[in-house]
Amino acid sequence: MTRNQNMNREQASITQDDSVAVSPELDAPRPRLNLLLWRADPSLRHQWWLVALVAMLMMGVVLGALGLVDRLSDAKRQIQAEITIQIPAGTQGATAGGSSSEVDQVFSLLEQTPGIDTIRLLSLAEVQDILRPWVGENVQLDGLPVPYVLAVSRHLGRDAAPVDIRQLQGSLEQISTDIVVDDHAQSLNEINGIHRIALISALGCCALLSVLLAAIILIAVNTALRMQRQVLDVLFLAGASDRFIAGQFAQFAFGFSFRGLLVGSLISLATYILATPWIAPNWAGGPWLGLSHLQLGAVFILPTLILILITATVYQLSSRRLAELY
Amino acid sequence: MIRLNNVSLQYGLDRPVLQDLNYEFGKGSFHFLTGVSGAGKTSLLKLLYLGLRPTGGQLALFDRDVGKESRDGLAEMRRKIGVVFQDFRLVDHLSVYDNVALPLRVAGIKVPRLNSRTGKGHDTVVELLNWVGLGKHMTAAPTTLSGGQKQRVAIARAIIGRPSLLLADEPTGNVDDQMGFKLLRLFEELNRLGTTVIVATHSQQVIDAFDYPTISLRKGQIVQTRSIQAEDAP
Repeated sequence: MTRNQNMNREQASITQDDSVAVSPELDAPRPRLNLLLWRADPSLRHQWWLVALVAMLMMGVVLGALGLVDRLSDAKRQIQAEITIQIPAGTQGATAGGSSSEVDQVFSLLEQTPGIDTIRLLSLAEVQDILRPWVGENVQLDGLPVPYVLAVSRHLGRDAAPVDIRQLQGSLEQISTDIVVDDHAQSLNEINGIHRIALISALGCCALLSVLLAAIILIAVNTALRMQRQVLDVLFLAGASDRFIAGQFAQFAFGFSFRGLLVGSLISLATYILATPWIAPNWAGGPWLGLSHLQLGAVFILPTLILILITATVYQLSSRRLAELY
Repeated sequence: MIRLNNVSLQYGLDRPVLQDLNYEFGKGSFHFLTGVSGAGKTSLLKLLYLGLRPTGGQLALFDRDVGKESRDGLAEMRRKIGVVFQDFRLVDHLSVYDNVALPLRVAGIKVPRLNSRTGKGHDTVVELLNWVGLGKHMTAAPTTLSGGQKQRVAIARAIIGRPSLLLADEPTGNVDDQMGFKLLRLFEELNRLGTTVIVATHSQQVIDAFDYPTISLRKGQIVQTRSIQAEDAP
């Protein structure tokens, strides 16, 4: 007897029974195995928004911190590239802003010093502008002796010879012991301090938010694992291996996290791109919509790393839970 | 097919729920398993569907020693077993079609989505659902079905992978008598197609209505077997 014959015979005997009053259609099922755990537990359905919110905060912190770090790095580069040489006024009876033989000697010394790119003598007005905040608006600077100030830029680039500040200082002292060389080391130290604080704060916030993000996702998956005992039983009885079942829950976690991370990161990115010119108009920004390469890298790498870590953790968690259950 | 050799089962330090069971279920046989509540019927079925390993003795299934199999090996063996429960154990958030298709998908078979308008889907799933009389309810949620319909979905799911062994734990417990007998006739039909069937029931009425060997359990031990001539018949 063929199976079809059996089926037809059986159909005749088994179909005449109770009918279904209401038979609402479920949404179209997926072609591959997808347990549709969202549907199983409605409380999970909207939790990805929580993931998106935390991801948005995290990416905001990261983008902001990296922007700040970029800006500080630019400032550092600018400051590192310049040396200021101050020749006190009146050392050779010279008046402020005028030229002197000392200035000429310093000029020719600097021209012969390796690593020096440009030398510029600041005008009297420029020097007075620099001094103005220190002496106050009401003080008449025209009658006061002001120093000559030379703005010296170093050669930048890998092949450029470094300027030996100590040696330069020694050579300048031979011209006059009152000449001051400022390589802006103090400012650099201060910027480095701010740089470190910004970086550590950002990393701390980022780590905390990542832990929060992971906790939300792991709790959601763990809840699903506990709530969906029926699904686990069915899969177990159908002959699914631990790897397969753990893979299903990892897939669920991946989908859950991917959606949240994607939406959160995009909102954060858009907010950063739109808000930066308004909040910090002087920030030069990077090559792509004002983002630096570091920021661009973080936008892609950080969520990907979190996604991989979470999926792997959920897989392990599910495997362990299955071993406990069966 | 199934060989129990001094099989025992004990949960923790409690007294054994099954003790020194010795029996052999032939290939293509049909057996009833009976006994009062707590006699060990469900525990024995759990051993047979590889939900547990025996704590003593040897259980051989499909000529393989269950005690020596890895978890993956047991999963593979489980694919040859269909199980039907009194409480159906359907996945409520999946449609009837998806519930039945689940074992195929677990086995890695591509099962297309059901076209709810034309009723087109995976041939075997659709054919089987028509066979059990649920062709019109393929897109329905299990929660909207009656007890008898749910049990037929559970049976369809249990046999979709053409199992060599079908285990049923009180399959008539949640359906009326008429439906209960219809379901048992369905099991008979499957048995005639070559599937070994073991039905656990405490209903003497069911056992008396069918002429199959019966194993009676009491306090975890086989106390009586009712053999009949048809026992070894395919």
